[in-house]
Amino acid sequence: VSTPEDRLRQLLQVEVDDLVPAGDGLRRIEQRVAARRSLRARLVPAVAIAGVLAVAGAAAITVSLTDQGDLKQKHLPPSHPRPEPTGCTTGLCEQPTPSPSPVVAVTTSAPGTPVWPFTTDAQAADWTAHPGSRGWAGDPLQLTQHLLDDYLKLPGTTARRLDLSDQAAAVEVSAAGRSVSVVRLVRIGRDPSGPWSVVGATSVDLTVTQPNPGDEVTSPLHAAGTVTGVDQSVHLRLMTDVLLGEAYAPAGNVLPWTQSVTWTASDWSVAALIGSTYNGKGDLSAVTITAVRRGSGDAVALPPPGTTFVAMEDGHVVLADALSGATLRQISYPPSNAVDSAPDEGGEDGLVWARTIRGCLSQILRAGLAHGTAGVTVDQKPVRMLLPSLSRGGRSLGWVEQDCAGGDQTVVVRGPDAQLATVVTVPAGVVDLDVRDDGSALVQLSDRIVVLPSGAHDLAAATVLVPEPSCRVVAPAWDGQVAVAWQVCPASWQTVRFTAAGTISSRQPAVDVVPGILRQAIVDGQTLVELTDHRIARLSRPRLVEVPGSARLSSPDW
Amino acid sequence: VAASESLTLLYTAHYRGLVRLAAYLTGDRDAAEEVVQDAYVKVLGRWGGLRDLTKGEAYLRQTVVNLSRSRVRYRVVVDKHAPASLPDAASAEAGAMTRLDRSAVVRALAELPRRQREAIVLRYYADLSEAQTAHAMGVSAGTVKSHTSRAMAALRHLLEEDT
Repeated sequence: VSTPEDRLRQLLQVEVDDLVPAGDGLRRIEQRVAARRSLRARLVPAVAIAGVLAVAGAAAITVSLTDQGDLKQKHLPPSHPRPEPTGCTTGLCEQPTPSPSPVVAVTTSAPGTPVWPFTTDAQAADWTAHPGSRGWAGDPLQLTQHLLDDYLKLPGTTARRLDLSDQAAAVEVSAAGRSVSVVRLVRIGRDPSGPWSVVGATSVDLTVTQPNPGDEVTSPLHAAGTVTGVDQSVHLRLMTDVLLGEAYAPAGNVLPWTQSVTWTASDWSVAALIGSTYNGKGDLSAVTITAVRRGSGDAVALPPPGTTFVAMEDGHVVLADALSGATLRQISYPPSNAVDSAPDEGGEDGLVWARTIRGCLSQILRAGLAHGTAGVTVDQKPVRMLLPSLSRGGRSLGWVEQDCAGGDQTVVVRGPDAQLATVVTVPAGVVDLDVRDDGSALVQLSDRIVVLPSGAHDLAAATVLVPEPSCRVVAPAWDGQVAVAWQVCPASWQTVRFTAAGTISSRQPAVDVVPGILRQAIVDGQTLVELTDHRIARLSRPRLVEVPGSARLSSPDW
Repeated sequence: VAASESLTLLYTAHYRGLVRLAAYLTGDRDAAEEVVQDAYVKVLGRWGGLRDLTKGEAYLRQTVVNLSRSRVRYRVVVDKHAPASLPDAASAEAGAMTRLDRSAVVRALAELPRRQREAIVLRYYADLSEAQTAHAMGVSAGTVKSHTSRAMAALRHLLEEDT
């Protein structure tokens, strides 16, 4: 701290750091606003006697305060029954098959989009007829506890009901003795005594400003908000009964955070965007739930203006514009005896690349694109380190090592969160490596593509991605949770998606590719490829569009 | 934006920070939350659905400043007529040197004239610009500058010792 002003800032922050509001503030304010509204409503007739204009004014104020009008609200959006859980938790996940999409109604006792455990009147009616083992859905408090334990998997949390309304319920959630969220529930279905369903949750410590509740979203979903803590990571999950997509956003100290969540499934209509943060002690500090609807739009064909990618140019890492190809910024400055290679972007705040010094002394460096500074992620060792890969959320880091004398190569993955380590020896000739947040590694060997599960120590544990007969697969990449690669059949190139078992689950129409594809990167529905002649192109189905002037760049990633 | 949504958004985004601000402005942690709740009720009542949420924070902050002043004035009147009480006991953390140092500055802050205290808290705790501070206090930017300058002069020796 250099100046008295800085010291004062710090002291003032620290002094009230332990001042935490009681947690029922929102409820108290709502009660007082409701009381004022009631008072105004009673005053309206009296004001009417006094004059027509005054009545109009008072009524306008009353309407603006109540806002909700008739509490019984009916929504009739197109909806889909939710898919059965796939049970896919590790390795590759199969692209679910879309379900039929009948138009169904949703009737709720108060405004809101129900997200869990019921989303439609039909589901509510089914519960009313056969509650079975889900009798807890008739009580907001019990339902919230199941939400925390079974759905969100947040052990150690407790719930306490804040109000007694029969139409809408608010339940406070606490963890380690602190209030972390207020969950809001409504009754769903045509039966006034039907089950409850969650419509949202808010927290003092974590605010989601985008999307708004009920918004239609397309992949990638752009989320934004603020947190009150310092140096936190916001865990975002988009969920129906299954996890559709997830991401982590670096955040802290009330600075706004932004992050994109990508998904590929198209068989859902309503989902919950779950946000959660943990404090420095590892205790849950905030949970939010925002209901969103699946929009009809597909991923945009063109990246938005301002989209960038990283690549190598003249021996250093650069940031380039995805539309114009122009170099925007030089990121690495290797000394004269060193060579930088293979930059890999892992989310908004992480970029890694390999640096080899005097021929065979390597390290992996990391830089924050937004505001971080460069630093060493893996200390230098007398080996060749190749193909560093940082997972999208920054939780796992992988690379390939090889002795200076040559021989077999070793795939190393640290993660997720440095809890597991994958160390697998493979034949020399690894072409590409991509690591997912859970530590699963997609490895292109010289003759096949395999998926190494997190913590593996033997190539025998890998799942092989199997192409169709007479074809081969190259250029693998994770697209969210799903492995995607290019399938090369006689005279055709197409992207294919794989199941957890390594079989093809879906294929896209063929694309004209000349001469061939070396590697690809997929983020937010946008695909970037490096061709075998080292030009760089974006995939804009059904063709590839070259990034202008890309011949000077290589090893692109975004 | 519906009134209920406005309230939820404004609550989640600003409530805690405003409670802490009010604690400084009133010098009373217990009263801070009540002051801020009053501010939310007032602001929501005045603007109904609050169409421009971006202005919500400024409205709330200004209202918290005004209500804190009222609270302090009220307390002065009450204290005049209240029987003298025993001095506060030391807190459990009082043994920690950092806490003692911190409290020395904060105690000095509490002794400052009301406007100087407001200027300091808004500038250095809420991290507002001079213009934003002036708006919240209902004075000119020049006045903010002079209040801040005098307050810093009063606190400087304590801060330098602390540094």
